[in-house]
Amino acid sequence: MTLLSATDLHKAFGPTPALAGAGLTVDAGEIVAIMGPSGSGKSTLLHCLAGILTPDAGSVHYRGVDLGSLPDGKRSELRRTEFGFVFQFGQLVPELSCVENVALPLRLAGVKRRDAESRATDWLEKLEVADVAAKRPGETSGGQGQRVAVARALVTAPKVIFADEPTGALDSLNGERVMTLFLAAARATSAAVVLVTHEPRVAAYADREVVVRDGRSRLVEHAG
Amino acid sequence: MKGWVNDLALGVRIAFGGGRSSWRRIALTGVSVGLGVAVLFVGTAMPTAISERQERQDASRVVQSGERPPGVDPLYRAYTPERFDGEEIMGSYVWPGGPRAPIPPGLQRIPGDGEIVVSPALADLLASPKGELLRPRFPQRVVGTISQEGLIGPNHLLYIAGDSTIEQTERTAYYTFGFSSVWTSRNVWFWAIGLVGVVVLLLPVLVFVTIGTRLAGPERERRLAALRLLGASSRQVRRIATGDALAGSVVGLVLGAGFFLLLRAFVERVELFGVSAFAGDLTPRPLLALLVVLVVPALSVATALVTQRGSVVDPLGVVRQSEPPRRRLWWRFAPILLGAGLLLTRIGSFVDQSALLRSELTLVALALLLLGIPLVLPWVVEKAVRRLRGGPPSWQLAVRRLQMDSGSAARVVGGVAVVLAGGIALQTVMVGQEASVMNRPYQSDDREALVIYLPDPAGARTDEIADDVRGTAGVRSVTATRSFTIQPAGQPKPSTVVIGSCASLRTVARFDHCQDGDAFRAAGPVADVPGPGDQVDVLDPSDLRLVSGRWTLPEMLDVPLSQSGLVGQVLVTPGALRGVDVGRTSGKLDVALDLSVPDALDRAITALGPLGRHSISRISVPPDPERDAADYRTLRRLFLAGTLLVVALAGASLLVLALEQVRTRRRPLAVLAAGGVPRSTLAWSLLWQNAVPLVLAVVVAVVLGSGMGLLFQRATILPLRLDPTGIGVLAATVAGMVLVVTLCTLPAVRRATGATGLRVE
Amino acid sequence: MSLGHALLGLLERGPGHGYDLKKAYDDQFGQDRPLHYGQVYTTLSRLLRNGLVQEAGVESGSGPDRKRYAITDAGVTDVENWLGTPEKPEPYLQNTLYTKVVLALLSGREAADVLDTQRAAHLNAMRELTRRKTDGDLADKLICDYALFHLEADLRWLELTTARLDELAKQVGR
Repeated sequence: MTLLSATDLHKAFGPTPALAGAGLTVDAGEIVAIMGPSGSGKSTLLHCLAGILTPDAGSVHYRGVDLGSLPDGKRSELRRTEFGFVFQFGQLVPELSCVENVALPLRLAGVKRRDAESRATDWLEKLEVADVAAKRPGETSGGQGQRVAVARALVTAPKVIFADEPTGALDSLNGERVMTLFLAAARATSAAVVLVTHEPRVAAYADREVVVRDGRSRLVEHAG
Repeated sequence: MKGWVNDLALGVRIAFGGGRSSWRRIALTGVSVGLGVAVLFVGTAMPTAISERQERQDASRVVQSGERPPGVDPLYRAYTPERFDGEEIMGSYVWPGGPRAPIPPGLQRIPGDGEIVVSPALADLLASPKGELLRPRFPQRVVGTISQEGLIGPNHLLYIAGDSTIEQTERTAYYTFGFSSVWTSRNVWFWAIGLVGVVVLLLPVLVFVTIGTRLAGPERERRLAALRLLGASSRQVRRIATGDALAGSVVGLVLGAGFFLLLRAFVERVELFGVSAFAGDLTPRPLLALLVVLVVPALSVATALVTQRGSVVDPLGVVRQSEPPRRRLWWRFAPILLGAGLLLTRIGSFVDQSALLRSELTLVALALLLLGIPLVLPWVVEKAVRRLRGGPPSWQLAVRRLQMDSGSAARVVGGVAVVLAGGIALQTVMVGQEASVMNRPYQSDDREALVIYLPDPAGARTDEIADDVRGTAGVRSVTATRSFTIQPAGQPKPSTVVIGSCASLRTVARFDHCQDGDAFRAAGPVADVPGPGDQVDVLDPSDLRLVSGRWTLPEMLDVPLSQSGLVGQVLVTPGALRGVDVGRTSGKLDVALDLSVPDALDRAITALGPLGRHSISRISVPPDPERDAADYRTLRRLFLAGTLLVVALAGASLLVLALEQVRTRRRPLAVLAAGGVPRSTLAWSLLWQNAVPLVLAVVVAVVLGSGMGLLFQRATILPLRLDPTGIGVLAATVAGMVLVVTLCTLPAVRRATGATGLRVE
Repeated sequence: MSLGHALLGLLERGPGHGYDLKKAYDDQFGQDRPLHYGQVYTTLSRLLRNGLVQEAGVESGSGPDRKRYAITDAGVTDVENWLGTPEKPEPYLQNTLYTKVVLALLSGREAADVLDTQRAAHLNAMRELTRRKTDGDLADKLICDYALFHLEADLRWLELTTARLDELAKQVGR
C-alpha cells in the first residue's frame, strides 16, 4: 500500500534550484534510503515529503491527501501525529530533561504528564538509554542523545519516520547501535522510514534506496 | 606592552571584522548601549539644568539690604504677580531712583514710564486670542523682550514695567539683583525627590547598558574559544575579549552622544507637564560626563571578563552545563535589610518631609533598598522558578528554560524592578503628600472668594473701586471695608480697626442690631483689644513705627467674632468716626465670585485695571488646594513619565535579548516546528518566558516600593495611603511591554521555524 | 576484466587496425602496463571467430598486418550487455569499472548509468551483509563488517567518480 508519494517536485531557494523533478513513493512499513552527494537536494526532498516545505511545483500525497492543499496548522498536526523526525543533531530541547523531551509530543497531543512520561520512559528503555532519562541533553553523549531523539520520534507511534543523517555526527559503532535499535523499533511498530544519508553503510539498513542527483531522483532497478 | 596592544587591537578587529553578522551585532550593541548612554547624558545634564534654572531664578530675585551701598542708586520696585487662566505671571513695577540704579537681569535698560518689557512666553500669551482678558491689565507700550538670563525657562511668564508713581520709600528701594539661593523647605523636598528619582531612573539604565554590551555572547565566546584552541593563552584571550568589549561600548558611546545631541536640538520645543528647558540647560557636567564615558566601557569590560570566566578557561568552548551554581542568599539581602532597618529607625522622627530628606541617612537607606533589588531578584526568580512544574508544554518549555538560565532575564528584569519600586515608592510618598495638601482645612466657599487689598492712596477710593468690581460679570457680591491700625499709647499691642457698613461688618462679627454710628469690640482669643474710652495711637499704615494721630475709643458693644482664630478687632461704622481724623486707611474688598461664569476671576481682576497695578499691593486669590496638590501631581506625572520611559528602555533590552535567544536557539526551534509543534505553543512559551520574571519583578517592586513608601509616610506622619492607580498603571505597562516584546519576537520565531532553520550551517 | 569487451568498446568508435587498437587501449587504460601486440591479435581472432567483429579490408602499408577490423551488430549488443551488467560486488573492482566507465563515455553512453547500476548491486550486497550481521553472533558481525567496509570503500570511489564524470569525459574525449 502506498503511504506517501511525491511526483515531479520542484523547489528553489532564491536562484538556486534544490529540487528539479524529484519523485518518490514510500509504502507502509517500508524503509527507503535517500542517497546522494551533499547539496544534491536530498534534505530538501525530505522536508517536502514531510510537509515542512511546500514545493514550488509538483505534489506530495500522504494517504491520498495532497499536503499542499492542507493549511499550515493541519500540516503541523499531521507531523505531530502521523510523522516522527530524527535529525543529525540539535533536535532535543536543551533545557528539558531527556524524558521530558521524549514526552513532549505526547503532551502536545494532550496526554497527561504522568502518562506521557511513563510511556516516554518505556521508549527510553527500548532504546537502552533509560539511565539518562533525568539528565539534560547537554549531559549525554552523542549516541545517547540520538537514541533519545529516536525515542521521541517513535513515542507517538507514527506511520512515517523521517530521519535526516541520523548517524551523521556519530562514529561507526555508535552509529550502528543507533541504526540497529532505531530500525528494529521502526519495524516492530511497522512504521515506514525515510532515511536520508550519504553513507552507504547506513543506507544498507534500508529496504531500497533512491538516489538524488542535481535535484532529480533516480530510481534504480535492482539487478540482483 | 606591545603584546598587550596587539591583543587589544585583535579584539577590536574581531568586533568589527566578522562580516555581516559581526556588523549586525555591533550595531545592536551600539544602539542599545547608545540609548542608555543618551539617557545617562541627560542625567549628567540634570545638575546643570537644575542649577542653571536655580541661578537664573536667584539672579532675578532681589533682596533688600537695609543699607545703601555706596555709588548705587535705588531701584524702586513693587512686586505684583498676576494670575491668569490658572497660570502665574510674575512681574514687577519699577522706577529708578537715579542713573546708577541696578538693571534687572535679562533687560537692556530700565523701562520708562508707561513702558513694559515682557518675556517671550508672555508676549505670545498676550498676542493669543486667550490673552484678550489679560491685555487690559497691561496697557503699557511693549518696548522689548526679556532675554534668557532673566528667565527660568522658555515658558516663563514675566513682565517688568516702568511706573513713576510707585511709592519711593526705603521699603521699596532695592540695590542689587541676585542672591545666593537659600533653599526653602519645599525646594529641598523637591530636589531631594528629584535626586532620588534620578538615581532610581539611572541605575537601571546602567543595567541595560551592561546587557547591551553582553549581546551575542555565545557567538563571541565561540570565537574566543577558537582563539584559545589556536594557542592563545587565557590571559591573551582575556585581553582580546577586553578589546572586543571596548569596541562595542565605544560605538555605544558615540551613538549615545549622537542621540543626546539630537534630543538637545529638540528640547526647547518640548514642554513636559509644564516644565521646559533651554538647550543650554541640557549641558552635561564635564565631570559627570567623563564618568559616563569611563564607566560604560569599564562596565562592559568587567562584565565581559566575568561572564567569560567559564569559557576562556576551556579551550574547546564547550560548556557542558549541568546545574547552574546555586545563588548564595545572605549577601543579596544585606542591602535591603540594612536599608529597611535604617528607614525603620527613622519612624516618627520627622515632622516634615524636608527634615527627613535632609538626613543623608535616609537617602542612603533609600539607595540601599533600591540597589538591593537587582541583587535579590535573580535569587527570587531562581527560587520561584525552581518550584514551578506541570502545566501545558508551552509553560514547561518556558519554565525549564528559565530554570536553566534565569540570570540574564533576571538582570533586565532587575532593572525594571528598580524603576518600578522607586516609581511606586515615590508615587506612594507623593500620594500621601497630595492627600495631606488636599486635606488642609479650607472653608467651603473659599474658592469663590477673592480678596483685594487696596493700600494707601487707593484705600481712600475703596467704595468707588468696589462699585467697579460689583458691575462685573461673574461677581456675586462685594463687601468693602477699610481699616487702620491702633495701639494703646506706648504699648506695642496693635489692633485693627475695621470700617464698614453694617452689612460689611457682619461678615466679620456676629451681632443683632446695628445702625450707622455703632461700634463693636470683637475680642479674639489671642490679643486683648482696648476698651471704650481708651486713648490709643493711630499708626501710619506705610510705617507702623510712626504714630499719625490719637483717638479715644467710642462706646462699643462686645460681640463674638464670626471667624475663629483671629485676633481681636474694633469694628466701626462710618458714622462712629464722624469728625475723627484717622489718617490714611487701606481698603479691602471681599469679592464673592460666581464660578459658573467663565473667567469670573480674571474678569474681576481686570475690572480693577484702570486703577494702576502698583496701587494694589496684594490680590489674595482664592486659595486653591487643587493648585498645591497639582504641583505634586505634576511631579508625580513627571516621574511616571520617566518610569515609563525606562520601562520602555527595559522593553527594548528585553526584546533584544529575546531576539538574540531566538537566534541562538534557531535549530531546536526549527526542529520543534518540523516535528509539528504548533507555532502557538512556541509563541506562548516565549510569552511565559518573558512574563514569569517580569511578574516576579512587579511583585517584588510593588512589595518593596509600597513598603518604602509606607515607611516614608510613617516616618513623616503623613496619612498612610497607597496609590492603586499608579501601581495599576505601572503594572499594566509592564504587562503591555511583555506582550509587545513577545509580539515583536514572533516574526523572528516564524523565520527561525522555517525549514531553513533546519539546514546545517 | 575482459580485454575482448574493451577492444569491442574501442571499435565502437569506428573500424581500426590492430595496432590502432593497441595504441588506443594503452592511451586510455594501459598506463604503466602496455598491451603485448600478440595479446591484441589473439583476442581479435577470438572475437572474429565469435562473429563479434569482422574484417573491413586490407590496406597497403609498412606494418606486418594491415587488416582493419569493424564491430558487428552482435558485437555492439555484447558491449551493451557487458556495460549494463554490474560486476559482482567484491573488492578491487576498480580496473574493470574504470574501463566500463571510460568506454561508456567514449561510446557516448550514460556513464552515470553504469555507476548507478553498480551501486545498486553493491548496496544489495551490503544489505545482505547487514542483515546477516544483525542476526548473527559477534564473529559474524566482524566478518560482515570487514566486507561491508570494503564494499563501502568501493562505493565511495564510485560516488567520487560519478562526481567527476564530467571532468573525466573531457579528458577521455581528447
